Amino acid sequence: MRRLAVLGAALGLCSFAVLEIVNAIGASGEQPPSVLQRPAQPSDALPMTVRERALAEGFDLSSARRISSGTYVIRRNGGFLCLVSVARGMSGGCNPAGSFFHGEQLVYGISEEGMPNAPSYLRVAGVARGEVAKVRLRFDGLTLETATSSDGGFAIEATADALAHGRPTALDAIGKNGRVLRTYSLPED
Amino acid sequence: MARIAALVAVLSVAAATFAAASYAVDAVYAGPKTWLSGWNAESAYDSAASNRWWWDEMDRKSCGGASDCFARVTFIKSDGTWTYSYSDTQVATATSVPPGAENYTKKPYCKNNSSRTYTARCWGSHY
Repeated sequence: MRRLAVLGAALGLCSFAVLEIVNAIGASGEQPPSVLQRPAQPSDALPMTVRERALAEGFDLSSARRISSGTYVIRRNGGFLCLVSVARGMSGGCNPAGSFFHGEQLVYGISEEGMPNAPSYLRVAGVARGEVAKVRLRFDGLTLETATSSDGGFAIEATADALAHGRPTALDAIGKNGRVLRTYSLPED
Repeated sequence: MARIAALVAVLSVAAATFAAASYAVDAVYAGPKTWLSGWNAESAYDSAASNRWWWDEMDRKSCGGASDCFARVTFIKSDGTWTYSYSDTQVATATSVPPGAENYTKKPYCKNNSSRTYTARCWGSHY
C-alpha cells in the first residue's frame, strides 16, 4: 500500500513536470511579431523627442519598427522585446523576446492621464498575432473598434463620449472571419 | 599629429562615457518583494531641476506575460494628480516624462492593479 502511494506521488510529480515543460515550450516556441522580419524604413525611427530617453534605458534604436501611429516594437538590453507608445511621453512594456506573446493573441498597454477612476485621456495600443484582424475596446454601453495594421499594430484613443461611460472593461481580439478569438478583461483601476 | 588625434579620440570617448554615466541616477524604491493585489509603493517627491524624476518602471514581474498580470506605473504631481500613467501585463512596465517637460514636482508610483499576487520591484531614474 505504501509502495502504491509512493508510486502515485512520483507519477503525479512527473505529470506536473511534463506539463510545465510543455507549457515552457509552448511559450518559448512562438513566432515573434512579423514586423521584425521586414527591413527598417525611415518611418520606423523613434521620434527625436524620446530617443534620448530610450537610449538611456537600454533600448536598441536601430531595431525600432513602427507598427501603428505612435506605437513601436523595439529591442531592449537583456534579451527583451518591447511595445512602446509615444503618443504622450514614452511608455511601454517588455517581455523576453523568445516568448513575447506568451501564448496570447495580443500584447497591449493602456496610457492614461488623470485619476484611474476618471481618466481625462486613455489610449490602448498594442501588437497582435497575424490571425487578428481587428480589436474592439468595450466600455459599458459603447465600443470602439479598429483594424490591425499590416504589421499587426493597433491604437485606439478613447473619445470624450466613450470616457463618459467610465473606464473600458474589455478588449476583444477579432479574427479575419469576425469571430472573437480572445477577450481580455481590463483592470478596474 | 597622429598622437594628438589619438588623444582627442580617447578624451572624446572618456567625455561621452562620463556624460552617459552622469545622465541618470537609477533608484530602486520598492522590492524586489511579494506584491499582493492592490499593493502600491511610491518614492519621495523630487525637489529641484537637478533631481527631477523622468523614468518609472515595475520590472521582474513573476507572472509577466500572463493576461491578468497587470501593473500600473505613474507620476504623481504635488497637487495629487496623476500623469503619464501606463498599465500592462508584461514582465516590465514603464513610463517616462519627455525631455524638457519634466521640470515640475512629482514622484514615481507603482501598483499591482491585478487580482493576483506576484513578485516584482519598482525603480525610477532621475537626474
